[in-house]
Amino acid sequence: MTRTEPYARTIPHPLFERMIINDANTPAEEPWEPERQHEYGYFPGCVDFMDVEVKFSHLNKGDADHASIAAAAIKLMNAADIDPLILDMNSFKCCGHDQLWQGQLEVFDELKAHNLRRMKESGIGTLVVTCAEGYRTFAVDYDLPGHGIKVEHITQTLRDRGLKFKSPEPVRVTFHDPCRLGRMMGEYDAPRDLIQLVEGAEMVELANSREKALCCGVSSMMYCNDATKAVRKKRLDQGTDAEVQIMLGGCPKCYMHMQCMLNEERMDPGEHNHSFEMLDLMQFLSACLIEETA
Amino acid sequence: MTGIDRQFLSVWKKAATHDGDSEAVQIWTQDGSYNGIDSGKLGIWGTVVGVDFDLCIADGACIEACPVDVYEWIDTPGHSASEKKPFMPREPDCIVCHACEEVCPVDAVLITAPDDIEAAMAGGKAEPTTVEGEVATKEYETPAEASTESPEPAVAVPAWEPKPDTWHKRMKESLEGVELPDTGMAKAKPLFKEIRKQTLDSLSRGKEFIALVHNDKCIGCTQCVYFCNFASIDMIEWGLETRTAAFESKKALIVEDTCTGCTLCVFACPVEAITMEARA
Repeated sequence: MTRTEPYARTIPHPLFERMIINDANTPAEEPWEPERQHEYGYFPGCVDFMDVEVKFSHLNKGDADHASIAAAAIKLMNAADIDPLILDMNSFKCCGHDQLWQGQLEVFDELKAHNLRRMKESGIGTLVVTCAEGYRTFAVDYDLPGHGIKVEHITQTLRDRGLKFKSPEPVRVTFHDPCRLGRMMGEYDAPRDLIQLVEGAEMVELANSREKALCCGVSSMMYCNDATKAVRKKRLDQGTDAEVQIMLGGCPKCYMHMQCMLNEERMDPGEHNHSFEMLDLMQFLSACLIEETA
Repeated sequence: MTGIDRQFLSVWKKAATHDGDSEAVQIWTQDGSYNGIDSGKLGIWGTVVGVDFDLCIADGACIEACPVDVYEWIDTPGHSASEKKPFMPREPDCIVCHACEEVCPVDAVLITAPDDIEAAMAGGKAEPTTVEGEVATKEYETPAEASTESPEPAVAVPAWEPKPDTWHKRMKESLEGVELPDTGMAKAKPLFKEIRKQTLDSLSRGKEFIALVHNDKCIGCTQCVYFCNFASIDMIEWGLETRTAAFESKKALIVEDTCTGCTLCVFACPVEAITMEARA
């Protein structure tokens, strides 16, 4: 069979992409000031932005619930006595990671200029992000540390906060290293330290872990096709080989794409063997948190 | 029989109208009497988008489900079932996707395609909804399973394999009551709706059109299957020349006979692999 048309290069999800570009090109000139000073700022990022109306929560029959990652992160931070300023989409825009990596540099520059100005206006000392891609973008591409704002992935923020976790039942978990958190930012230990804190959770490593971890297959939402799915399937197969009950991720994109694959497989009962759950680390910790009665 | 009277267009009487955005919305009652929005007896509102306000419990499912923003809340003080109702000021925008009909927990919504209104009013057809009529006469194996006995528009639910979700539920429970602070949703929502409307306006829809999947573009993600309200999409293994030996995804196939041209799958598709084409 010969191909008559070139391969499609539509970047998923077209409407969402258009919305970010539209947002980037809408200038917001008026200054902004938070109601009060916060040491910590939390940037939920696309997690909630996507989950609003693009309805990622409604896709996959409601299984990929991204808003719950943000809710879990806020709950855990509050439990760790951190009162973060929520850097919401009223004053901020998408961090622009995908646009940068897709080569839409002018869009990224618009987003960066806007967000940098807002970061300075917010007066925060430390920025916390739940998204590994956002973490890399703010720390490296925005160079926030150079502007006097420390950037932390939420696992780094929570690791030494004396939080106590107990799993409702003995469970075998693994951690899927996101590319941006691991290979790019060199953070392998913080999420593992957090998992160690969970009583009753047995942590196993996948066949490829840490520096050699496999990618979820869809970097910066560039494209999804049979090749990227093959990578994802291989990664999920490793979870089966390690006999895990939950695969944990530190990046909403990994979570989303793994969920998508798992849902796709539901159409073909019996043709796969991935009988475990994919959760974001924050969601898992939230389910295991022992709330102290003050 | 519970739910909206499926023959209301021919049996019920026109009682009053209520101003919509561009056209007035018709109010129907059984005996033709209507005593105002606070009278406690409201009848069925709308013609294409018919909602039995006396059954409606105002859970908002239809407002959430509508891809073209037909509905908005209207206050109905003193009504016994609920004190607000999904009013349809943008009724002419309805793309007859039946999404709201599908989600309504009390079966209070009946969508009739504009082309069938006259026939339905004349009471000529026993089954006023086109979808129902069409499906019942076709021999497609997928929709037939669900359609035989059901009085609702035939929607066959694909046999999805249940997924382990113990921890998903646990996570949801642990987050109950954790109020997500304002994250700027108010800003994103109209922005997205506006862009979606632009895209929607550029699409052809209706019974003369059919959704077509480009196999080159389709990534086999199955999202359109979840979105289709008419069980009109199958996932097919084509045995195409694949790009990798390790994995081959199935491709979506639109079942011609049950596709109503509602464009919902075009929105669900993450890679713009579905287009609307005129039926031959």
